[in-house]
Amino acid sequence: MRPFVLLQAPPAPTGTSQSPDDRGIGFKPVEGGQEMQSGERLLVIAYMVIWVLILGFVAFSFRKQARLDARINALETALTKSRSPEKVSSDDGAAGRASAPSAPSPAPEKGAD
Amino acid sequence: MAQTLDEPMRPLSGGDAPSKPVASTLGFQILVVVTTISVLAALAVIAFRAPVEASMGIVQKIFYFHAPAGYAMYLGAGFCFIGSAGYLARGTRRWDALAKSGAEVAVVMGIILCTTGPLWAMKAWGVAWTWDPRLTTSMLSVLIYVAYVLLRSFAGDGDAERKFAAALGVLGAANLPIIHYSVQKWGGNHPKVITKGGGGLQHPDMKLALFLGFLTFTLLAIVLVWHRMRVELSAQKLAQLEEEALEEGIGGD
Repeated sequence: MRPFVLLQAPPAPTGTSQSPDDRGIGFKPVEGGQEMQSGERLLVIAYMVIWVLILGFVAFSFRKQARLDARINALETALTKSRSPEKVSSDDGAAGRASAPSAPSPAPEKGAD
Repeated sequence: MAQTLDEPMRPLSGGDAPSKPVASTLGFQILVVVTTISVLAALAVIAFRAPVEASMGIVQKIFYFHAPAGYAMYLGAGFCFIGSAGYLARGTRRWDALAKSGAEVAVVMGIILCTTGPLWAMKAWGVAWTWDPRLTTSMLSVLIYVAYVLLRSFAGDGDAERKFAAALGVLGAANLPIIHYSVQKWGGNHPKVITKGGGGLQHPDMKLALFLGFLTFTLLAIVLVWHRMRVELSAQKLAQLEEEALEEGIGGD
């Protein structure tokens, strides 16, 4: 009896002997069998991971740079506007006011705008 | 781009801000174009010229970007080490920006390394992960740079935090030679195709594909570090402007 058993095919992995009715009510994973991986699929996943990561990092970095640039420009403009009345008042003084009577009087304190 | 860092930058209140242009924008753009060409050439050679490996099949083509990603992680870590050492020695924010940029690139390349490796191993070894010396030390190194980036993101931007991060950047680099020589010292499953003792690449097109992979990832690492450094220096300039705006009594919005 024993040699007969040895000549038989190795036992199938468990979970594969489902009847059509069993398959209709639940799924069972293969246990103990050799799961085959597709090399093509693994290659495609690997290359997708590489380029999604790199492009994502580049896109994140460029967006951050754009936000920083916009904020820097806004602040520089605001600072320039804030400082210009002081410059006019110190450079021109009374002479400047006399030559341009229609110009607004300089702000008494910085940061007036 | 509305503003470039080619413009001279005023010093920060602490007197340690970048006072020279970071880099030529034209040079950066040329480097980006060369990198893009290199990426396309590498992909074309890997897909259409490099032969399929006899025993592993097509999945072996992961190797042409997996090994260069590991090398690019070394490059990022090297930039982090240089920047950290420079910051500890000189205390200037430019060195700190280099260290931070290098660590970020090391993390990205390390994630690529630790993702593509297991995908290849699933086919070649039948398991995604083993506690092989090189795999373990590589993962440890990636985690060190993840810790660095998290520290810089969430622990504030004071001088003490920067110095602590710089110490981590210097000490983190100590793991790099251990990774490199781990296969020779302790054996393990990891192949030794490139290093001495391995069988090497048998076909000239395999060598060409690997060369282009290394070239591509070297250029990518440099471009990414350069760009992240520009971003970091812009952030430093913004912080200085915000300080000045507060002194002027304006909100800036």
